[in-house]
Formats: sequence, structure tokens, C-alpha cells
Amino acid sequence: MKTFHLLYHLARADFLERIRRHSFLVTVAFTIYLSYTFLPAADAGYKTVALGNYRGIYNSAWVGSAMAMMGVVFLSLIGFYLVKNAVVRDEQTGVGQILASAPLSSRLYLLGKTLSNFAVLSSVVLVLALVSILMQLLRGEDYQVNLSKLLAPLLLISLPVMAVVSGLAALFESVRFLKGGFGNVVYYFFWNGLIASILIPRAKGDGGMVQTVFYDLFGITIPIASMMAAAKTAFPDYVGSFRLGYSFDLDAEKPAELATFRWEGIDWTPEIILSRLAWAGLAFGLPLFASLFFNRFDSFKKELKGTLEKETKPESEIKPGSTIPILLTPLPAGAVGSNWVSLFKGELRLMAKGVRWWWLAVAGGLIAAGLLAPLNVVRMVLLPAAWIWPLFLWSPMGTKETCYRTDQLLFSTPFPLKRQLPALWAAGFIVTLLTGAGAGAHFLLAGDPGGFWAWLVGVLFIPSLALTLGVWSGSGKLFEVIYLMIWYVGPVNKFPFLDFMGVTPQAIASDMPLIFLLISAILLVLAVAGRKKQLQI
Amino acid sequence: MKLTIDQVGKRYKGNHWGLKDFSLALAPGVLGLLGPNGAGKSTLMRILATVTRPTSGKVSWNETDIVRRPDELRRLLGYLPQDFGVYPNLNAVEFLEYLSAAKGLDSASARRRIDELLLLVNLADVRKRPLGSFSGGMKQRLGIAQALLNDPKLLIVDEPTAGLDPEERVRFRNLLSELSGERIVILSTHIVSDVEATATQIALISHGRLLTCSSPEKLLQAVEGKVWEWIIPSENLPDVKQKHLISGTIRRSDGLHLRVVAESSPASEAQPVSPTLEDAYLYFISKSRTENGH
Repeated sequence: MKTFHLLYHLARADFLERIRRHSFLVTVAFTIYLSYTFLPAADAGYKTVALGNYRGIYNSAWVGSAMAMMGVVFLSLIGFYLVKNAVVRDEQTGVGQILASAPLSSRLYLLGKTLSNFAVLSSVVLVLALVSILMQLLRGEDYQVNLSKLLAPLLLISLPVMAVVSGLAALFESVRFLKGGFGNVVYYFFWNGLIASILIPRAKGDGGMVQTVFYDLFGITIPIASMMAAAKTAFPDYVGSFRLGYSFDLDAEKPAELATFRWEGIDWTPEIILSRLAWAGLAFGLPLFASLFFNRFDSFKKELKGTLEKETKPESEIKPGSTIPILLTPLPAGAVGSNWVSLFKGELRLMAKGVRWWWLAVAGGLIAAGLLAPLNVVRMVLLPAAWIWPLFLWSPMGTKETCYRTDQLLFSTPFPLKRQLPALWAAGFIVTLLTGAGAGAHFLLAGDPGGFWAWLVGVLFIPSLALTLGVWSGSGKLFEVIYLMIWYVGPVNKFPFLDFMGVTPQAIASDMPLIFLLISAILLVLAVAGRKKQLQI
Repeated sequence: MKLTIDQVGKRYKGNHWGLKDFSLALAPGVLGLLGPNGAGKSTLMRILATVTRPTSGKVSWNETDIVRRPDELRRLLGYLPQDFGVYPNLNAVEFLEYLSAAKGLDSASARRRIDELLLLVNLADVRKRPLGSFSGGMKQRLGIAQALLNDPKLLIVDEPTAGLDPEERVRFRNLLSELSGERIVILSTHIVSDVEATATQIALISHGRLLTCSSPEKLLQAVEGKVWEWIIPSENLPDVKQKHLISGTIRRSDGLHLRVVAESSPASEAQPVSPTLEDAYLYFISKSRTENGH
């Protein structure tokens, strides 16, 4: 009983702290918007859940399942980043030190954090559920709201996924090397692999039916199998293809509308329910596993190591308390001026501090390869690689003042908006320029003005995005996630409309560099506005 | 050199005023700002350091409105916030170099100044050690060093001795006294002895309002004849505590020696004694609480 009481208060305090932040309101607003887009109107010009050229009528069964499927795909990614800060926050606020000294086991602590994560994500699913009801009525294809059919997929498909995501977030926060930005990248690729393993084999269709699979964490094979069977009955020519996610009718002058059929929902067999409960159960086993790696806020070893390595001399030869003459030479007239270059160098040093030799070796290798490899390889492989490598140098831009609590020191210096912010951006610009220098020089030497122009815009775009997202979110996480998504979908998967570095000919032909230049300018205006807000100007 | 605070107020969420109708004019010297926790000291410090905008009122530095034109003051300002952080991967020299660049110091002056300051705050021998391994007291000393980088004309230090050991605290007090010649120093604290040793003027603040501002001597005069030493049996302490303001207790063989702050003698056997600044502080704070019904 005492354990449950403790667990309840651990989770409750953390949950309340999170939902009382402005960022939670932003999350709710974003969820409402996202949910709205999950169920497109017939002539919307894009699709989310489609079986070839068919889809179900927007009745409660279809709306609930479509919302649940789209919800798990997005919330399993965004939700992870949303909640992966519970332990870090305790570390930063110092609350962790207090809890570590309390008679509270690491297992219980991490279980409390997982529950709090789950409560936050469940709130988001609740918003999704409420929007689902409204969306069914708004689309108006079937006004009869059947709550059990509408809500069951959200309960049995979405919530177990949210539980697993909550546990994974606690696990990632407990493992030292997964705690920071590297963990964010690892999770992104893990998520990508998981989604691809479920969706890709079913995207084109082979005429056969999909079987519900027990190992499908996302649970999306449950409605897919049932939907496909219904589509096959309604349309014998249906070949068994399935698409989940946004697909746009980019080339069509008039969006192609999908033919509809009636689907009455999932038959929730005990086996299916058991599989979902098993995932939820596993989720709450994750914090127990995580406790094996959790250091319980003990940074002493790390600090001690640093101290022993660096300190060879006694701290000081001057005895504390002794009266020493104050030997401060008055500053000469004019010593305090602008000295922007020194500030820029300081920002650059701060950005590069802690960079290891092997990081520099890889960056150097990418620059050299960018200069020497065939142009096509440079464009398709080396430039995207060169511009993902400094991810963790860019991501602290605009956030370190808040993260390290140096904001009061910096914001009380002269002209922080005119001097420090541009110096910070310029440092990011130089890092981007240098890491991509091999490719840039190659474009220039090969007489490829289009490629060089797109490259130059990339150099401007990346630090602008990092700075703006950092200033507004106060954390590097948002940039890491958004940049990673844009980079993966655009330059890596050759989606021209997100190709900010011009690796695809279509991007250059579609004037994407110009658009990204404009976006960069807008981002910089937003960065200035965000910093002005911080400075209370 | 003049700093004028005119009817300054700061309203927080829920219509709570952290500071209200606060006015004060400051000339060179050390102003000790004393008040209980949550009195509004840090709010005032942040406003004067141009980090927070007041909701109402005006702050002027030599007739320049620093709410509208904060950069006029920032060139001449040294600020040690109550709560600040450092970049853990930088060492002391690199951190101070970065902040001197942010303050606009030229490189040569900055280098010399940093060497002198590190010596002054007793961190010269750990100048190359990453700040992540610094203790709380060492970070505080680094904070003091950064506040002095640009030889400030206005030095604002908020709870500067927090985390310092007694000997370092004495060193810092001496430093403040030495520095106060041609500049305005504002020292905010709730440790009366820090102010006693350094301040030329003392402002008492409670519930966001200025209670009084005068020299330490005048504050002491205000409680002259209001402090008493009274010996009582230990078992009477709870009763006496309920009725009187006690500023000190010492247990001796003949009973408890109480130091009582009261307008008139609390008992016939109580003897008047010379007041200390701590007695004066308690007297004014207690009086303000009574007047405000707290």
C-alpha cells in the first residue's frame, strides 16, 4: 500500500509539473491540428489511410481505427521526444539529489517516471479521442456515433503503444549514452525501422490478406487485416495494397477521390486483446530493466575523474581569509567597446568545445571526400553525411543560455540582441560552411552553379533552423528531431520539397533553394523575436 | 554617478506584486539590501540589472531611463545573480574570456583583467580545470570574478556569499569594501553580518515594499532603548516567545539569557542593552508584519 502511495505521488508530481507548462498547451493545440488532418475530406488532395483506391466510409469504426493508427505512428515518435525529459529535469533542478537520498528504490523511481510519461501521453490520446468524435460529425458521412467502436481502437491500439513509448523513454534516460542527443537519433532510426518493417511489405499488395501479427507493437495489423478483408468483399478487383501516412496528389490537377465501402470495425477477439495487454505489461517491465543502468544522479565518479586528471597542484597557495592587496588594474579608457570578433570566437569555441579527435577526423574525411569523389556521389551521399555529422554541435544553439543558466549573465551584457545572437548564428554558419566545404568547393570547381547555390542556401538554412528552434523551445531536442526528419525525408529519401541542400535535380528545378532561403530569412526573424521575448524588450 | 529608482513595481501572475511603489536614490557607496526570503530583493536586483522589466515605474542611471535604454547601463554593469550556471566543459579562463567578449572588452585588457581576478578570487591555480568539476563555492567565486570583469560602475551582487566558507566570506566582504570607492555597489542578502561589515547605507525591504533606508548608525539609533536582556527559567520560554520578539537566546547556569526587542521593558528584571543591526532588522521586519496583519 505504501509503495502504491509513493508511486502515485511520484507520478502525480511529475505529471502536474509537465501539464502546467505552456509547452503542454502547445502540444494539445498541435495534437488537435494533427488529429484534424488525420481524417481528410474527400477532396482534400491528400490521403492518410487508403487501401489502393478505396477507403471506408467515415463511420465510428473507420474513424476510430484511422485515428488510432495515424495516432500511434506519429505519437510513437513525437511522444517519445515529448516525455523523454523526466529524469533529466530532476537532474537539472536538483530534485534528483533529494530523491536519490530518500528511501526510494531506483526501480520505483523509474516506474513512477514511466507512469508519469504514460499519463502525459494518455492525455494526448484523450484529446485525439475527443477530436475523433468531432471529426466523424464534421465529415458527416455517417452521423451515428458508436462510442465503443470509435474508442476501442484508441484504447487497445494506442494506449499500449503509449505505455511502451513511456517505458522506452525511461530506459533511454537511464542509459548514459542514450540520455542525450545520440539517444534521440538512435530512437528515430529504431522507430523508422519498426514502422518500415510493418508498412513496407504491405504498401504494394500481393493480392493476399494481411494476417494480424502478435509482434506488431503498433497494433496496426489488427485493423489493416480486417479492413482489407472488407475491401476485398466490396471490390473484388482490390489487389490488397495498403497505405498509412500522408500521401499527396502532387501532379493531379484534380485530386483523385477514393471509392468508399462500409467497414464495421474490428472483431476484438481475446487473442487480440491479450496481445495488446501483453505489450502494455512489457512496457511497465522496461523501467525495471532500466534501473540496471540508472546511476541514481551520482555524477561524483565523473567529476572525481575529471578532477584527478586535471588537478596536479594544490587549489591555491593563497590562504582563504588572508588579507591580500587588491591588484586590479583600472581598465584603460575605451577598453569596453564592441569587440564582436572576440565574441564570435567565443561562441565558436563554446560550440566546438568537447569535440574529440575522431569527430574531427571523420569531418575532415568527409570534407576531403566531398572534394575528391565523383560529383554524383558527393551530391547523393557525402553532402547529406557531412551535414548530419555536426548535428550535436548545432542543436545547443540558442538553448545553452537557458540550459546552463547563464542567461542572466549574458542578457545583462551590452547589446545582447545585436552582438551575441549574430555571433552565435555566425558560429553555426561557420561550422556548417566548414563541414560542407568539400562539397561546396566541388560544385564550384565543377561549374555547377545550381548545386553551389543550393549548397549555399543549405549553409544558411541549417544554423537558422537550429537557432530559431533552440531559442523558442529552450531545448536542442526539437531541432534534433525536426532536422533529422527533414534530412531523412528530403536529402536522404530524395523528397524534393524537403531537400534543403539540393541533392535532387527536382529540388533545384522546383526552385526549392529560393524557398529555403526565404524560410531561412523567416527563421532568423523568428529567432530575433524569440530572443527579444527572452530579453523582455 | 546616480541611480534613481522611482515608483518601481513588478507584478507577477495572479496579480501578485513582487515589488510595489519602490523608490530610492543611490550615490557611490555600498547599499545593503536586507529582507526576509521572498521580500522582493531578487526582483529588484533583476530589474536594476536590466534582466527583468518592471511593470510600472522608472529606473534611471545618470538621468538615462534604463528600462527603455538598458544598453547604456550594461556597459558599466557588473552583475552576480543569485542563481546562475556555468558551461561545464570550459575552464575558468575560457569562461571569463567568453564573458569579457560578451561585455565588449578588448582582448588585451581582458587577458590582464582575468589573470588579476582569478588571483583575487583565489582560483588562479585551478584556472585550467573544467568548470564541471568546480564546487559550489568555487563557482560562486567565479561568479564574483565575472561581475568585476569590466570594472563596473554599478556592481549588483545578489546573495554573493551563499556557498562561501566563513574565511572566503570575510575575504569577499573586504573586497566589497575596497571596491566601493567610486562606484555604486548593491549587495542583497539576508545575512545581516555581511551587510554590517560593508554597507554604508541599508535598505530594509519586506513584502515588496521599502520599509526604511538609512545608514547603519541611524538604524541602530532607531532601536536604541528597545533591546533588553532578560534571564528567565527555561520552562517559561514558550510563553515569552508568544508575547515578545526574541533576537537571541543563550543557555547559562542561571537560566536562559534572552535578547528581547520591545518598545518597553518586558519585565522589571530585564536590563537595557546596546542594539545590534540584527536587532534593528528584526524590529523593522516585525513591525511591518504587524502593520500588514501577517
